[in-house]
Amino acid sequence: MNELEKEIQDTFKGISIKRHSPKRVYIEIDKEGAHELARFLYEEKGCRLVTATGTDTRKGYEILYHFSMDKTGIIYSVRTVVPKDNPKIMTLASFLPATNWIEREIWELLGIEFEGHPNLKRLLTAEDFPEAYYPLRRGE
Amino acid sequence: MKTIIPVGPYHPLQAEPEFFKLEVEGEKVTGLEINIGYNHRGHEYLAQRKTYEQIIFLVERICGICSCSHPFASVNAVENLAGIEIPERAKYIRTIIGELERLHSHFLWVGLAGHFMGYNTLWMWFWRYREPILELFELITGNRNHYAMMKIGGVSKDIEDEDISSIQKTMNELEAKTVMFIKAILDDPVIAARLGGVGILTKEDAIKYGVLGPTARGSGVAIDVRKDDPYAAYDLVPWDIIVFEEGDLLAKAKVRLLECLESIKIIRGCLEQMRKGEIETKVEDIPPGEGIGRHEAPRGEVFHYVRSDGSNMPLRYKVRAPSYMNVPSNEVAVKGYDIADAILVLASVDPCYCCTERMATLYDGNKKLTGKDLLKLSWKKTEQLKKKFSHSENKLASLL
Amino acid sequence: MKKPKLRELGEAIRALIGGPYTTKFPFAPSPAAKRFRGIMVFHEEKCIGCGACVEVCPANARELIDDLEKKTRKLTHIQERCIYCGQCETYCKWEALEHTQEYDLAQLTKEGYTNYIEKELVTCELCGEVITTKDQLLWIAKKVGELAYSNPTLTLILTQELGITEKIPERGEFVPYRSGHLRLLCPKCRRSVYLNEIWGY
Repeated sequence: MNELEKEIQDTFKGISIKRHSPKRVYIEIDKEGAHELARFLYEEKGCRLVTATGTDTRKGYEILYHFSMDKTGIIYSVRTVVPKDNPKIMTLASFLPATNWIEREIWELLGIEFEGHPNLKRLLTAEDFPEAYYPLRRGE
Repeated sequence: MKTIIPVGPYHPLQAEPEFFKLEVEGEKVTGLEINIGYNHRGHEYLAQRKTYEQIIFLVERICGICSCSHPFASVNAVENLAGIEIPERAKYIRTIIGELERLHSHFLWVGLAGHFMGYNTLWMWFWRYREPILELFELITGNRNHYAMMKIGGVSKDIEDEDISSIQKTMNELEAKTVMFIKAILDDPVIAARLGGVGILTKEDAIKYGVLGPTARGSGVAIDVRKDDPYAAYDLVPWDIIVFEEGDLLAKAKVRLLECLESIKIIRGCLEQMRKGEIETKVEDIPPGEGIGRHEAPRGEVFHYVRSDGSNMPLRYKVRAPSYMNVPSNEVAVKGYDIADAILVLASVDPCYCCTERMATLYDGNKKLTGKDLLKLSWKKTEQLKKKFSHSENKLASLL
Repeated sequence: MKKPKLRELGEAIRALIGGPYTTKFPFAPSPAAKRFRGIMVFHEEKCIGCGACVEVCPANARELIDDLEKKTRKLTHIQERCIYCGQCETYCKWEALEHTQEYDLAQLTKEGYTNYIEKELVTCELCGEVITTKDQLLWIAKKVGELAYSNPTLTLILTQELGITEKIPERGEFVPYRSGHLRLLCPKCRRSVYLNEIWGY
């Protein structure tokens, strides 16, 4: 564990950190903690948001925020799960404009709603694509 | 009074479809709205139904010009998942292919920038010097585009000894020509006036929008995956990272031109240090888990994420191309400049829309300009600048 | 701006004298490199009909269709879908697929776009299911050498091919007992015949 991981472990509750390989770290945390941790990594530590991935798993819809610490080359992936019957999470676009298109894509293909997003409209699919049909969900 | 000028989506000026709505007042641009989605083909959905080796060919066809970047990131991701180490000769061969691709992509961009400014000879000459690189690719890999060289655990074809002398001859020729072109471009006062101080992207905006590649390195943000998180042979050969602080179009052009010389240095270093050996390791099964792989494409960082459940097809595959982060930064970079400069600013991030995505309709603006009109506007400005410079030169000559 | 332009003058003269870089295809030949991945051809005598090329193709450009009435296996290659990746050529152990250096695909009729070869099938005499192609059984027989004589299916195919025996005459209804085990059987049926023989009919 390096210093940044120790600091994250001390500052945040309900967290589990796993180092998969020398430069890949996966951090699991709940919904509200993910927002705080993302703000901590971006504003105080100077990490860059690479992208965000949404997956449909048995436990719920899993969102992974990938942050890259360019000085050391390590990618910190923040994992959080939202329940399938209420897929909502707070947006990061209030302090990070780079997430604008990233969160629009996850909403469009997976159906997770980002509360507070300034412009949650279609980005990739056509205008006559059926409403409320999310291609990356496993049931459909 | 506000006028809206739609640029796209089917434009003779652009290589790929995208839709920009420029809001202008008089001659200055005050706002920009971007619509993409014309090339969306559903790669992530398809990738859940193909085996790991078939995915390499699927992602290779996301883009024609960054054709080795996506397979490179894909094999990096799967090798990170399964913990596979590749032999040393394969590292050097992968690096050579990646750097040759960077060379021909940067040449293409400089040629297009010349065309948009009205320098058609520059365009033709630069594109003529891409041909020896494409012939090298056909000699080594079997095709000018879509090389099919990457394989999980190594590379699929070897570089024979008799091909090495062709590579070295081409590198010598290209180095001499690149140096000549750099001097020609940087000496010209009209190009300096067209590109200098135009389309400035400040360092704070570059960090807020998360831009990548030469767009970021031209604004003072020194990020490069090859130095931060080294893979393949990038930490085995010596080379330098190129950064400029100004953030305007001239800085981005300088970054790309000087990176061409660095690429030639890397290729020569690899050829010198390569030893004979195996080109692939045997791969048995891909265990359950997740992996992340990245590669520095000519336009920025390509990111792939793969999640496996132990079967021979992945559970989730995520692709993020660099143009996805670079194109939204146009919203701040294009404000306050002339319409004639708007084309150059939109092209300066070197957008690859195939990597970004898919399909749509046309809007009717209040005033409509076609592609030819915009090109003519841009050329007219260059003519005016040329007259200004030669006029002042004549004045100087008459004084002497 | 006169002095810097001198160095480009050299390039301009070279461009004028050298002429354009492009070739005048189709009026002049434009050969491809030796390793060029062009149009694919079949080598019918080497193929054994295993179907590995069908499994590996990323673009679904190869198909394998079994016809149980005519007892043939048809392996097709659809040129419109092929992406010229070279995977089938790499994974075919019998070297029955090859990339030529041809790249000109234009044709006047649509039929030329799908090529196919046909292989003879061997079917089970009891249940009628497909065992495999005759060429694959011959390849296995030659590979295992004298051990081929321990398996009745291999023995029958091998001796027919070598011309040692005449064609097997019609023997009437199949009885799954000792006399039945010297017939062409699929693995499932062979097991049921042996069990009947050991435990009684």
